[in-house]
Amino acid sequence: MSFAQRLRRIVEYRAVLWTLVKRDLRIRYARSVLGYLWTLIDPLAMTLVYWFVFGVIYGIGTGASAERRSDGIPFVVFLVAGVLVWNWFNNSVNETARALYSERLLVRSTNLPRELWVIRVVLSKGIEHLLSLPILVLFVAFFAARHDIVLNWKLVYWIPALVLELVLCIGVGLVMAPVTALVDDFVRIVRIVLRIGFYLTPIVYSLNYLRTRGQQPHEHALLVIARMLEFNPLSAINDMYRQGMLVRATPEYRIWLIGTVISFGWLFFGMWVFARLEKPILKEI
Amino acid sequence: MSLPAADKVKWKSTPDQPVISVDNLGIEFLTGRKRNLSLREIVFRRGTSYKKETFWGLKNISFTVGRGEAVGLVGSNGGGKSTLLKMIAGTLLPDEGAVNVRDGVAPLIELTGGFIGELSARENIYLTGGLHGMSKDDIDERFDDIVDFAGPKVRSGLDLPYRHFSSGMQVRLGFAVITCLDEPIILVDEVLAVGDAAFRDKCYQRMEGLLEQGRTLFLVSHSEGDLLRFCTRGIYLREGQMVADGSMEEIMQQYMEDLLGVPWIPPSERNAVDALFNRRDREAPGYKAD
Repeated sequence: MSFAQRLRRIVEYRAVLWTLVKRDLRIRYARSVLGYLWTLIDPLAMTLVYWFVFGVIYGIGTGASAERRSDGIPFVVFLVAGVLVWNWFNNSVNETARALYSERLLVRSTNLPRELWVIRVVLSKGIEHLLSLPILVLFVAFFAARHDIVLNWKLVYWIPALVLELVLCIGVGLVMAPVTALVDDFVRIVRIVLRIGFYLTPIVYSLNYLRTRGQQPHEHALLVIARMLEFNPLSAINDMYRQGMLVRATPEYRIWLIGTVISFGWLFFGMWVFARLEKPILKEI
Repeated sequence: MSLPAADKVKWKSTPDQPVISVDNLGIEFLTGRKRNLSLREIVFRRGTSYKKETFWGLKNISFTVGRGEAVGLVGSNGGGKSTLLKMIAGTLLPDEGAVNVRDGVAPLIELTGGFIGELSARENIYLTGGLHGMSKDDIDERFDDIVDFAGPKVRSGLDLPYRHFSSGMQVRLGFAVITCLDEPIILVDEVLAVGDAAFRDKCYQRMEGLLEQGRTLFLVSHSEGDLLRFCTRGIYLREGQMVADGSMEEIMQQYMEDLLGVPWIPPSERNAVDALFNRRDREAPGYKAD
């Protein structure tokens, strides 16, 4: 099947896709007592931990360089936005890795476009991401009331940020799902890479901070690192995501372009890998 | 018990077209290295050429099936029956040749695979129906039929988590949902004999009803009775090869004689043969009735 045929089939089956997404969300909320609250507690706890370590203990967000370290907004808000974006990506990658194997009974008995099993995970994690936004809204409202943050029109960049993250997650997921179905060890590798990835994404620090520190003598390594991080598509997504709150920082259009190209690159690579591996996976699971 | 109406069956092919055409089909499986493939080998197959331990699960299979035919697949274990069924269902892809299925498929394979233990039976019916392409309205319309068919125990437990159902009940519900689909092709993999005798009878009636509507049936079974009851045509697979394709009785005869090595008597003639032997026994000298 060609790319176009595959895409057409996916579009044709969009109703089933929504059924699958609903199913995922029902399962997630049917089992636990706290249900929806977990969607809030999880990223909140993560944010508080990082805020405690980096904000309270290391004092980021206070002192002379506070301004640059979190792009001129309170560190907690900077952090919470990054953590939410990261959570969607992280959960998607972890879950898509098991997407085919955990639903093998269904994959074996229904003739749906197999990509749906991946896309459904990304979408349901995306909806969970949207459901966890009240945390961000709360923090922003709190600091906006104290005039620590001024919201501006660049808030609209939030939408392309979501689209880009969706594309990226689907792309990465389309690689994850078939590969883990064939090679068990891959899950472990992915887990380690994700843990490293968290720190190689501007979540607890800003790219601008790396760049300014890199200007100082003997710190050129940081400049190189900043350069490398530009190729992390999540850098672009994070930057777009935070634009509405940033006043002094200008949008980094160059990084956005790189991020867009790389995200779509992942999408095409994912579709290629998936199409390539579909036959052997169906025999294995 | 009401069946989905015959005029609702969603045919995409024209009546004179074959519904399923299988052309020189082949599928190759790896042996020995299950779930431990080298990525390089799969992604860059062209570059590397070394010996792989493989066998052909199916090879050189060709046939066509028309509208309203009921085909029984026979063969001993490992003959490739389920593999062929899955390839018609589209859940396995051929390495060689092609399968062209022109109409939608209602797969009675892994019946309970789509059900989620944590959700209620009601939710599960909607989800599984949706997964097989039914809209919410379609399911609303047929909901009562589905539940009636599954039985009163299912009805009384509609809002209980599905995992509280006995395994028999679970399969009954699965059977009820899938046989409510409007798809013209029905694939059955050994799941006719589910539940107790009463339910089995209901299943048989429903299958017959579906066949009367002119749907196409593909049945994999080891049950001689089921095969002869439903199928008009048989295909005999042995070690991935198609040995014979003919009327169900002929194929059954060939298969049974191959398998057991003794002449096979169709069930319809069995009583007569039994009676004959009985009479001979009675007439034999020294026979004592007790």
